[in-house]
Amino acid sequence: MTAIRMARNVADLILIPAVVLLVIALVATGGSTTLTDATIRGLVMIVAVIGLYTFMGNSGVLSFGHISFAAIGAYAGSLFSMPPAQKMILAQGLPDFIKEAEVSAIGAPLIGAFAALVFALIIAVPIVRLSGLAAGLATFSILVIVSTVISNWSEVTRGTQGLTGVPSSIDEPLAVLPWVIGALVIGGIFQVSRSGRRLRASRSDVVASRSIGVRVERERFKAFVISAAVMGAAGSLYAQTLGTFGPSSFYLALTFLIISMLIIGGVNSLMGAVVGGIVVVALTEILLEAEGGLTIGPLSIGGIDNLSQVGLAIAILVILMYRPQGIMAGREIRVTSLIRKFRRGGSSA
Amino acid sequence: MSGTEIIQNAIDAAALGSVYALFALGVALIFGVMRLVNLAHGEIIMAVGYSLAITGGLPWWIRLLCALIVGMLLAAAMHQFAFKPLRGADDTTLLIASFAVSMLLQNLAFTWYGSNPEGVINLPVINSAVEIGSLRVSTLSIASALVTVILLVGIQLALKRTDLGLRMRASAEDFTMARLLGVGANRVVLTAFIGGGFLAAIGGILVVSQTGSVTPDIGFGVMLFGLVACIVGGLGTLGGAVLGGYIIGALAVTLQVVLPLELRSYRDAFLFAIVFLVILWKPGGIISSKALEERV
Repeated sequence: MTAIRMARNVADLILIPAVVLLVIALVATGGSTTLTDATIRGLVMIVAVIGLYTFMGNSGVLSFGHISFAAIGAYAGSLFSMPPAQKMILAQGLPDFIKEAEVSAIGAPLIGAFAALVFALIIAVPIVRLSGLAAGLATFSILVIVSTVISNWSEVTRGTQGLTGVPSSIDEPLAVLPWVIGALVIGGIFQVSRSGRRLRASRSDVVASRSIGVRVERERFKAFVISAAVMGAAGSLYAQTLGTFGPSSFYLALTFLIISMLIIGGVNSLMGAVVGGIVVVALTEILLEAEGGLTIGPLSIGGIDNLSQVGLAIAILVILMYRPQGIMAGREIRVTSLIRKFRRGGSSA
Repeated sequence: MSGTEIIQNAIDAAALGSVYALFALGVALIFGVMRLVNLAHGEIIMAVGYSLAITGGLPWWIRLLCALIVGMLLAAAMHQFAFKPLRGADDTTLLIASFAVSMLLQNLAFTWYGSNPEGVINLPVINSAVEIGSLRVSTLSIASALVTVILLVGIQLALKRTDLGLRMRASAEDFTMARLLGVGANRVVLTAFIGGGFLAAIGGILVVSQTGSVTPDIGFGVMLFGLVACIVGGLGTLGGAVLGGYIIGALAVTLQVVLPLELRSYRDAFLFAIVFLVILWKPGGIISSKALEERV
């Protein structure tokens, strides 16, 4: 495929979601602090979901451990961007070149992406041979291992106390937007590339795809590493929005959140990842409001603290039971199909 | 390390392994009939723990009974509301669903009780220890090992000798074929869940008695190890699950003893690294069943 053709394909794929997210970011910019905070968080989550989708959606392989990449990205990005004076006191065990470094907060996600990428390169080879249950459980092991190591390597990570005072370049939703667009571009390029198509073939039928010459492990490897990099960047961004974080910020709760976004939106399409992110953030914000207590008829549900988590769990179960492919059911919303619909005056193709 | 220390450690390993074995057996039972790795199995332990905490002042046999009933009811409810509607879905869907159920239950407990540990008044007899030669063995360890052995033997007998047991073994080996041959699917799956719930409840009683308190996420820790035990031992067979439980128990204790002091807190990381390697080497587990092997 020529570069121009690929560029057109990618744009076709990601333009609509990019515009939707741009509009959301713009609308939220003028709103209340709750709204902007939620939008910032949501956009960062969407970067992460796109990362997860790039592997899980294209390959059909479940990964419970992707948040470990986000964790590595968060720590790497934050440690490189924190002022050296702080590092001298807090993280004695760091090698000198990190202690003396002071990367701008904008560069931190790139460092995070790189660190996650290196880690993924190391562990990818055995993982890409697994699928189904074994993959889910093996990647889960990775999550536990990374979390345990971070929690205990106090000289470098401050263990369970976590890092504080992370420099942030994110003060409004539009600041996250370039990263979201970047993630969309990367995810889009992989998806429309030959590699991506081969991988999707293996998702439909592993045996058949092997029979036509798809080297499944190799394609999965590429997806794995790319998705890890995007996750790493997302992790660093998330750390910046939190300001203070520890290993528990990147463990089960976040894994559950990101996976639920992907499942609810539809695991098989990029638009699904984006839609899932938007829906879940909206849902959790509404439920967070309701946590203050509400009255339904004779029942008075006063301040259920974890209503948002409970609601999310119920939402996933409902989706899995009644619409297991998620909201988008594997469909994308492409510019070309919209134009086609427009030209025919609304009648569907 | 002296001989006594080795024996002491062996007893610890056996006690720990027993709890994991019980748990793994419950997971394997459910997996066998539904191909569902129930990540929410650990929450049965949590529910049992809270049940024991709530029934604090009552006579011990009432507390035990309540705990067992709570465990079995919760398992049946999980089946009825979450997993029965999803029967036939593929493995990863079921896995994610069980993850959702686990988070749901943990957060409900968190809502009702908060994250602070609830103290649990121990059942009598549990707190004492017995001296054998120069060893101090807590009655709890003895109880754990004994209970596990009795249950395992009992379950083996039930599976081999009773009609229901025969149906369950058939379903575990090849569910579709079993249904075609007239094995009542619903009955079997429900029994597997309730049986698993019973086992988890016993395991929960043992665990909570050891720690003396319960938190919303107490189930997760045990679930992790029990799950791992199941995988290492082989998901397709019940014997494998039990073997896995004891292996993991032994590994955990061995690592605790063998690792140099600085690395000891990383024990879980090492454990999971070993698990990771086992999954790579044999994705079906050490004792894998023929039905699970991919033929291409």
